[in-house]
Amino acid sequence: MVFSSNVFLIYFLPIFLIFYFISPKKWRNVVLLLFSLVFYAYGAPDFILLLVGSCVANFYLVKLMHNSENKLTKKLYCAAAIIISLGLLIYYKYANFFIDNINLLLEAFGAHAITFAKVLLPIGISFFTFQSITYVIDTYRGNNQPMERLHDYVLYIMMFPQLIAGPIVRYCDIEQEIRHRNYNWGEALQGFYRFIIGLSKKVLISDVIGIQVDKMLAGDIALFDTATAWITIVGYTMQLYFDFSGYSDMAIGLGKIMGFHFPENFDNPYNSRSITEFWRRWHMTLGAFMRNYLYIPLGGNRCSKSRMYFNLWIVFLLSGFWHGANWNFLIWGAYHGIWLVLERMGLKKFYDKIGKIPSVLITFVLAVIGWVFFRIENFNDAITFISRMFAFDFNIIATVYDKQFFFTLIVALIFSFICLLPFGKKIHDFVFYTNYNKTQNIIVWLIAVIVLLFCLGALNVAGFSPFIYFRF
Amino acid sequence: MKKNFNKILFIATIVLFAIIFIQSVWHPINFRPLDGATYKSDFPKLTLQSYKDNSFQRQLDKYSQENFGFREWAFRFYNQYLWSFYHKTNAKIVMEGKEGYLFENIVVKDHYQSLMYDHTDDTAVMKALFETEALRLWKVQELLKEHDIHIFVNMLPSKNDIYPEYMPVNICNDKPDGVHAYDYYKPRFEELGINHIDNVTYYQDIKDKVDYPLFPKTGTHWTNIAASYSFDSIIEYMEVLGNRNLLNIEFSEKYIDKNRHPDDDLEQLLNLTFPIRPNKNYYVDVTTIPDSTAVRPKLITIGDSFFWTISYNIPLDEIFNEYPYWYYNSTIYFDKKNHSTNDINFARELMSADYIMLNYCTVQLYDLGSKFLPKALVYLCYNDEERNNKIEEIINNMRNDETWFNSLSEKAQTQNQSVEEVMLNDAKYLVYQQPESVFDDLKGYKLPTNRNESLLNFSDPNSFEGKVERIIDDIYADPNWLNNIKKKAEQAGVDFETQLRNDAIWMLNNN
Repeated sequence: MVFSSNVFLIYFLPIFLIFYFISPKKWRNVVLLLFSLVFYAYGAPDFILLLVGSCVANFYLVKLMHNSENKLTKKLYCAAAIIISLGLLIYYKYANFFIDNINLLLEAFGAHAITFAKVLLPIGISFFTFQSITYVIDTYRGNNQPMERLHDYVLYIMMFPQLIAGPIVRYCDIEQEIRHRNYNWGEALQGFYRFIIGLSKKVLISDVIGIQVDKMLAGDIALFDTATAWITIVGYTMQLYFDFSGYSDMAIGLGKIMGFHFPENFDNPYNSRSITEFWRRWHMTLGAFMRNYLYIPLGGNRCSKSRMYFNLWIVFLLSGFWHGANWNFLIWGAYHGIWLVLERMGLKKFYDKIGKIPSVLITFVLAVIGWVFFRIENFNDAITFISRMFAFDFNIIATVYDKQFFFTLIVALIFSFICLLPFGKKIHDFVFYTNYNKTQNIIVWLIAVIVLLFCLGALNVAGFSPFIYFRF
Repeated sequence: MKKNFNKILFIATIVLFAIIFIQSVWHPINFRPLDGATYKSDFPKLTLQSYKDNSFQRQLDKYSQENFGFREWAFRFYNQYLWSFYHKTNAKIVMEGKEGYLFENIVVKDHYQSLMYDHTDDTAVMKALFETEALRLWKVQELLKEHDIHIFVNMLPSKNDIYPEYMPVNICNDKPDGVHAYDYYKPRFEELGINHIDNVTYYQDIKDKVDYPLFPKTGTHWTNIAASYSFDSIIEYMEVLGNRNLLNIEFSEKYIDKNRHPDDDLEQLLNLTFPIRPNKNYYVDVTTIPDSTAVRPKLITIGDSFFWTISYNIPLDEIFNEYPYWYYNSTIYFDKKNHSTNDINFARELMSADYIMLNYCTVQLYDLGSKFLPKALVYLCYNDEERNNKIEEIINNMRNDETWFNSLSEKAQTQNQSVEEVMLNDAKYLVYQQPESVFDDLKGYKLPTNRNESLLNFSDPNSFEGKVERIIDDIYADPNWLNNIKKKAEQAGVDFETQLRNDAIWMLNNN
C-alpha cells in the first residue's frame, strides 16, 4: 500500500486515525503496530512473516548482546544480528543481479548457466534493513539501551509512515518517543498540512511530469534533439525529487500526527553549490547513515588523503548500489563519488570563487547528468542520451509536448529554486515551520481540504473515461 | 485557548477523513451522478488465493476508484482545472476542434480516412467486407420484397461531414488513407438498386442555407431540429417504397427552448463544474396531419444512436402501429415484449414488419446492419431443418476436433457455463453471423438461390404457423401465462422461445 493510493486515503487512514485517537494513550503503540502490520501485509502478503521473523531474531540477539559481559561474545552477537539483516537484503535485493552476471560470465566461457528461480523483492527491505542496523550498532556502541518490549521494537522497524520509503530513522532519534510521547494538537495539524503538501507534490507534480517523461523515454533516444533530451531529463529530475521528497513529507506529516518527529530527508537539494552539499541536502537520512555506519568505520577523514578519497568513492559506489541492483546504479554512485573526490581535491575552491548562482547551476547540471544513469538502465543508451544533450542540434522534434507537462515542470522548477531568493526562503519557512495563528490555521486548513479533494480527483480521474452510450 | 482551537481543528480533520470513508462505503449523500456510460466493478471477493496473488488488492483499488466518496465533486473539480488551463480532457473519446467545436475521436478518425484501421489494416479486406454486406443487403431486400416488406438504408451525416472546417488536427497521420464506408456504399447502392436515403449530401447542400445548426458545437449527434425535419422525407420515401399511404407530419415555427435536454453529449462527457458555453437549442413541434385513409405500419429500426434524436421529436406512436428499435441489433427499445435481439423469434419478428430501416451515420456505416444482414439472409434462404442440421453438424465437428473442444471447454469454464451451452452458442454464431464459413453458397460473394418457403406461413393467418403465432400473441398479452412458461422453460432446461412455441402448438392441438 502506498500513501497516494485510494485504499490508503479512503479506507486505511480514516479507520486508523479514528482507532488511534480514541484509544487510551498506553494502547496507541499497539494500535499503531497492528495497523502497520495490516499496512505491510496488504501489499506484501508473502513477506510479512519474513519481516516479523527478522525483527524477532534481531530483538533477541541484541538483548543477548547487551547482556553479554564478554567482548568477543558481544561482537559475535552484533555480527550475527547484522548478518541476518544484511543477509536478507543481499539475498532478496541482489541475488538476481549477481546470478545474472555470473551466468553472463559462464556463458561467455561456454559453461552452463546456473538455473535459479527469480527472487521477488520485499517492498521496503532497503529501509528496514538500515533501521535494524542502526539499532544493533547504536546499542552495541552503548549509545542507547535495548528495547524492553518486543512490540515496541517491531513498531520501530515497521511503523507504517516510514516503513516503505523512509526517512531512515535512527533508533536513538525515536527511542524516547516510542516509550512516551507528548501530543501537541498544533503539531498534529502541521502534520496534516505536511501530509497534504507531500501528497500534492506526488500527485499533482511528480505523477503529471512522470507520465510525459515515460512517454518521451519510450521513444527512440537516438532521434532526440538537444532540447528534447534536456526537457526529458530535467523533467525526470523534477519527477524524482517531487516523488521522493513528497513521500518523505507524507511520512514526516503522518509521524507528526501521531506525535513522532522523524528527521527531515530533503532540504532544497537543487540549491546546492557542490555535489558534496547536494548530498547533505538530498536523502539526508541515507547520507547520515552512510556517514555514521560506513564512512566513519572505514576511517573517515582521519586517514591519509588517498585513503579518504577511496573511502568517499566506495561509500558512494555502495550508496548507488543500495538504490538498485543494477549496473546503472553502480555507475551513478561511482559518478557522484568521483565528483565528491574532485571537490575535495580542489574543485570546491573553484565553486567558491565563481559565486553562488554559477556554482548552483553547475551542480544542478552535474546532478541532472547523473540522473541519466539513474533512469536509463542500459549504459549505451545512457551515453547516447548524454551525447544528444550536448549535440546542440535543435532540428528534430522528437516528441509532441503537453501543455500540462510544461506548466507543471515550470512550477516544479520554481519550487525547486525559490529558496535561493530571500523572499522564497521566507515563504518556505512559513509553509513548513511556522506555528499558525487561528486565522492562518483556518485558511490553511481549508486550502488543505480543497487540495485533498483535488488530489483525489487527480489520482482517479485518469481511469474515468466515459462513453456516450455503451456500444455492442 | 489556542490549544483548544487546534484540538477542534484537528478533530475536524479526523471527521473529514471519516466523512470521506463513510461516503465511500455507504454513500449517504447523493450527488448528481457523473455523465457518460462506464463499466462498474463489484466489490471484490476476499479469499486466501485472491489476497495472496494480489488480485483482491488490485480489484479493491479499482472498486475504490469507482466508488470513493465525493468522487463526483473531485472529478468535476479536477476536470475543470484540466479544461480551463490546458483544454485537456480525460474523456478519451472527446477531442476539441477549432472554435470550441467538440468531436468524438472516431469522427476525427473517419474524417482523416483512418477509421478503417479499427476494423482491418488491409484496404482490400475492407472493400471485400463492404461488398459482401452490400450484396447481402441487396439479396435480403429482394427476398423481403416478396413478403411485401421493405428494407432501406437511411444514411446520415456525421459531424465531420457537415463541419469539416472545425476539425482538430489529424491524429492518425502515420497511416495511409483507408477506405471510407460511405464513399464505398453510396455508388454501390445506386449500382445495385439498394433502397437508400442519402441524407449526407442533402444536409451538406442545405448547411449554408438554413439558419439553425445541423450539429451542436458540443454534441456528436445531429440537432433535434435537423432530425425532426429529416423525418418528413423518410415518410415520403416509405410511402413510395411500400406503395402505402402513411400519416404525414407538419412542423411548427422553430423556437429555442432552454428547458429541454441540450444537445451537448460530448460536453457532458467532460464532466466539468461549469458549462463551457450554452448551445442555442432549436426545436420544432412535430404533429401528424389527420388522414383516415392512412395505414399505420410496423417499422423496425436497426441502427446507431442517431435514431434517439428522431424518437425524442417525432410522434412515432401515431405514425406507426409498432416501431421497435434494435439498437445496434442488440438491445431492443420501444417494444413491450422484447428487450434483446437474443430473445426474439427472429423469423416471426422479421415477417411481422412492414418496413426495416437501417439507420446509420457515416461513421457507423462500417458496421452496417450490425450483423442483422447475414442472419436475415440465413433465415430467408434456409428453413428450420436446414439451419438446425448445420448447427448439429458444427457441434459434432467441435466434439471430434480435440483442440477445438479443449478451447471451448476452457471458454465454458471462464464463462461459468456448461460446454454444451458454449458449443450451441458458438455454432449458432457461426451459422447466423458468419454464414460464409458454414454454407457453401454463401462463400465469397456468392448468394444463395434457395428460399425458406416456410416463412410464407407467417403471413397466412389460416396456416398452421399463423395460428401458432396468434396463440403466442395471446400468451404475450397475459403476464401470468407468460411467467408460467418462463418457469416451465427453466425447469425443463430449454430456452424460452422453444417452450413458448411448444406450449402454443400444444394449445392448438388440444383445443
